[in-house]
Amino acid sequence: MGKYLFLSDTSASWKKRLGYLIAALVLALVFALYSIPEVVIGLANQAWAMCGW
Amino acid sequence: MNTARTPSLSLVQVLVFGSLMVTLSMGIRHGFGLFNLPITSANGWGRETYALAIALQNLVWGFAQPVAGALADRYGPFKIMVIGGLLYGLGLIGMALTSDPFLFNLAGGLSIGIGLAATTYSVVYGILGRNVSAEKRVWAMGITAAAGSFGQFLMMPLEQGLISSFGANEALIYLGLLASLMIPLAFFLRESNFSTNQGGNQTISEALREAMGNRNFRFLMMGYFVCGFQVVFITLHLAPYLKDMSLKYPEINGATVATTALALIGLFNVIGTYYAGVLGQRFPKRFLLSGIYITRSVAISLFLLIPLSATSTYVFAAVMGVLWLSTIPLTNAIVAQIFGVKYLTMLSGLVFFSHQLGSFCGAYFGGYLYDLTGSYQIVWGIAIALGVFACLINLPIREEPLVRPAMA
Repeated sequence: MGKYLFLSDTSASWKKRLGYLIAALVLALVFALYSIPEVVIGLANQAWAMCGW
Repeated sequence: MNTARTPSLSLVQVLVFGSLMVTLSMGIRHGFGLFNLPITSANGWGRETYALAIALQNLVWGFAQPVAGALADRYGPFKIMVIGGLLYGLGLIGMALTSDPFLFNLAGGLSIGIGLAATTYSVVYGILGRNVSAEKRVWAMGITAAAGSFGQFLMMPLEQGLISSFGANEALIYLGLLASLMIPLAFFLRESNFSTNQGGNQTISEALREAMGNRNFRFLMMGYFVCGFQVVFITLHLAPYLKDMSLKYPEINGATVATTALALIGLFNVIGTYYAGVLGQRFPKRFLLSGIYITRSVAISLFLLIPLSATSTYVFAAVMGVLWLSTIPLTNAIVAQIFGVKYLTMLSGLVFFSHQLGSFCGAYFGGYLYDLTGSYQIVWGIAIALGVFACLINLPIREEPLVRPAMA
């Protein structure tokens, strides 16, 4: 498991750490997209449409 | 088990192009709910027309998955993925161009449903099974599942952006073009030495009989049914539940809480599916599956018992996100481990069929029991009980390759 887990492997190369960092940044960026008002409204509309099913 | 032949694709190639394939196929469909209101209002339809197309799509996907799997195992996944990418793209463009409900159902329901069956996890996992060594298989399945989860997480805001910028119909055409990228992707996943003779002389019908007569396979199917039930019930009914409960807990009123909860599920789903693959290499997968199902039951119970707030909703969403699709790599890896990889695509499709039956029940009974009782409490109770059942049913599974008389 230590081979893959970020925190538990002392021999993890900087490339692996960089990969995790980039992945975290991309995920944070996409998460931020959800706070755009039009997205919030779109998702709320979707929820309302589901209520109508 | 059946990994004697030399892989024709490298690990990196399978992971990169398999992940891209699943990112597109799983991602694009995830935002279909966003098109509901703009499409229905533009065409003057009731919401049931659009809902019927999406319901049909999910049913067709479930029924077509074992068939697509069997065809992929027989003729090779490349041809199936090319046809699937074509049908997926044409279906999206058809949804954009037609204003006739019947044709809309053909495009959005039938065509995309078959396209999904030909381009999602089961087909890609068949390629993974044949080209990745057993030692790395669960990890690779976890990476691909995480890519599908990321697709779902990414495409929701992107599709909303497309709708806002270009309108729903034009957005569907752009998505159709995006879906057509699955056709060139399939070329990178073409196995030059694919053969139906690999892994013994077992026929498709023999493999089906063997799997359905196998206790471990039936247990996996039952567990996967529960997964589908819980995931779709929460996807469809969490927001209405929050809306209902906001009368008692005004803090959770408004679109932001429901949207943030959906975003958190998406975010933690990516992390959960990846680590499910990582842990699956290290620990018995049946125990991990049992752990996932029982943790879901505990999380739902706590969510219902603790006074509702925005924070409790976000914590619940994050925990459920970690557990969301993490069952996919583990369940499929056990199938590969027990039955080998020759008919992995078909058998994986068969367990997915059970997942879709559970999804249908979660969606339908969630609404039906709410209408009957005026509350979601009974369905939450069923979801908890099913989680306990799935935990128990996964424990006795034997993760050992079948010894067949001819191969013994």
